[in-house]
Amino acid sequence: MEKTVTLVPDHPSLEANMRKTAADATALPEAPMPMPTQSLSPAEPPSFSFRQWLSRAFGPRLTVRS
Amino acid sequence: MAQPRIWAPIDGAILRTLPEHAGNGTEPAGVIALRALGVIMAVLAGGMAALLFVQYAALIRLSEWFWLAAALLAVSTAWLAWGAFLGTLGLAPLRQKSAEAEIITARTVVLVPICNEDALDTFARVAAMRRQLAGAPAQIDFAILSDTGSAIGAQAEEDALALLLAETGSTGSKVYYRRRTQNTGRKAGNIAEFISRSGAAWDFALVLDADSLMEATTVLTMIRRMQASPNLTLLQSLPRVVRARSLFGRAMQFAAAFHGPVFTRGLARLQGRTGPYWGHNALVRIRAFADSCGLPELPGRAPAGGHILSHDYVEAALLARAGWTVRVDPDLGGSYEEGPENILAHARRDRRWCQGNLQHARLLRTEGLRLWSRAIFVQGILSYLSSGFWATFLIAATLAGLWQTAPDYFPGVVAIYHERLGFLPVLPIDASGRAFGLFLGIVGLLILPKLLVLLEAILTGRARAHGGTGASLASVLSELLLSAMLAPVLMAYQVRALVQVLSGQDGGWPPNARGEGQLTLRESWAASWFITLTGAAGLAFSATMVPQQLPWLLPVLLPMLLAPVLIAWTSKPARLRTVYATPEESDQPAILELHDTILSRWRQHAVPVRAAAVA
Repeated sequence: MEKTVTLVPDHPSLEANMRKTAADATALPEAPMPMPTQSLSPAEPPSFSFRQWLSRAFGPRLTVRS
Repeated sequence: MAQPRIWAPIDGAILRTLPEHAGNGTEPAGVIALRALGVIMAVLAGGMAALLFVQYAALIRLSEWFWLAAALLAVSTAWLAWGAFLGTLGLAPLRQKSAEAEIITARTVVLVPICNEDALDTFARVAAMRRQLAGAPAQIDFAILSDTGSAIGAQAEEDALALLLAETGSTGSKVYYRRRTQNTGRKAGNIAEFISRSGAAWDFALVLDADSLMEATTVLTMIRRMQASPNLTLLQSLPRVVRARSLFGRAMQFAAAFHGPVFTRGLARLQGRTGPYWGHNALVRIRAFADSCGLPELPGRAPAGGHILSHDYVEAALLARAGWTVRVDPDLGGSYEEGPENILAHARRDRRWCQGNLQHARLLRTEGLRLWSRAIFVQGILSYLSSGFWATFLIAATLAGLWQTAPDYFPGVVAIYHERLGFLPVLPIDASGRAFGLFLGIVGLLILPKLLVLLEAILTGRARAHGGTGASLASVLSELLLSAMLAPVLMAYQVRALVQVLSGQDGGWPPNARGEGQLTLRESWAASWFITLTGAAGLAFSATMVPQQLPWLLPVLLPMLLAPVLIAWTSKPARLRTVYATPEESDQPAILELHDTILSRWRQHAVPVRAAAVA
């Protein structure tokens, strides 16, 4: 897609050295802040094991005597 | 320490509004109750609509397609009812006052991410805001973050930057400019790169779009509110659409200005700690944003995979997941943006939003998200699927009528025997009452909230800013009529977008066509011939095969048939200024005037050059 952009070659503010000064003066400061990538994964569904359920429900109960 | 509760009476019903609290992760009970009430009312409305339709369909013996039509009608009506609930909820003013810090100590940077924009226009906005903020009791810098791909576009930006620096001189605030040669991650990636490289230099960032403008007082108010609330990490203002010229643009602008504040108040009552983020005209706490909002690429290719297009909703959800508060404050004025001037520009933007919202379907099961964040994703998805539901409902209802069975006047089981007259016929029960009731109910859900907003505007005096009671009434009725005419055309574009996205076509992020205005009939035809053909085919089919349903289908099929005419007509300048009047038209805000002044002075030396815009 074509667009129209506007240049201002004759504007008094735009001598070459002023452009260069502007570019130098406006460089972003170096002040890093980490931005770790977040996880968007679905939660793991709770896994169900019939054997584990059986052992929990009906397995031998151990009692510890103090 | 107990937090203060603020009460907002609404016509005798007492609502608990959000108490400001830090990080205990719970939503107020009143907010949860309101949300549940809205869902229940929406489900009831959808159920009643489906029941009425099923009764109507059974009485007039429609074929089994009516079951599909009923299911779709239930979902679509529930969606309409949810919107009506939002509007009704926002009728009463919010009475709580947000806390504001007296002295601003936070350092703020105004971020202006741009990509192939009109450099003079964009930089003139920055100049206007910088000029207004001169002397403000706060450190507020500006960072223009460019993703412009073309060399000539970059040259234009450098020229405009020099003008900006010369215009505003040394005002105390600094202006930074950075251009990326690779626009990785598009806008979200642009901001992420800034934060990773330079974010620690500031505390807050005011995120703008290229067409955003904000009054200095609004910017300072937002900074004060965020500074006063340690758990508040994203504060969204309600941008007002300004500078519309066409009939379509002014109608949208009026609807946003007249109805928008009320619906946003309704949204604010439901937001709890999990408010919306619309990607611009919002203040963020940089540290929290950096900790919580690093977005990954989704597995797979676009449109379902790749970079997250509608990143703002996801960022808000991630902030809420981390325990922060995201909030919209509808009382913040002085926040402006520009909108599309014609239906084609609107449809192009909507195509991107459709893809972005449908992409959120992959995030519904993301671990740790708040239930309300998931509900917001669902609302965004439904806002586009609903067009598909309506279209499919129309088709299913038409097919149901196609195989409508003839009445059986002498059903063997229930034939009535009269001693003298013999067997009497069983006449069909008149079902028109149910059909009419259903029609009235759906129209009521669409229209009644807007009429209530009109009543609110008249009673509160807000209508004065829109030309007075008479002009407001004319504007509301005119906007309703125009919306009814354009709805089938917009539905067709949305259905096309849905089909494209669901069939795997990536629409990407096309350059914004800001300021694009009048369209010729040829241009409109080129973009909408498929709608006209669909309307013509539908009319021919209905008239010949299901003539009894034609009156119900005409309000949809006629606008589709006339789509090119409607698109061209609504793109023309709106000459009658008393209709669709907004406060910003009658009393132009200072920031807009300042922008106009600066831009017109710069343009005196401008040389237009055609350049390829690289998205």
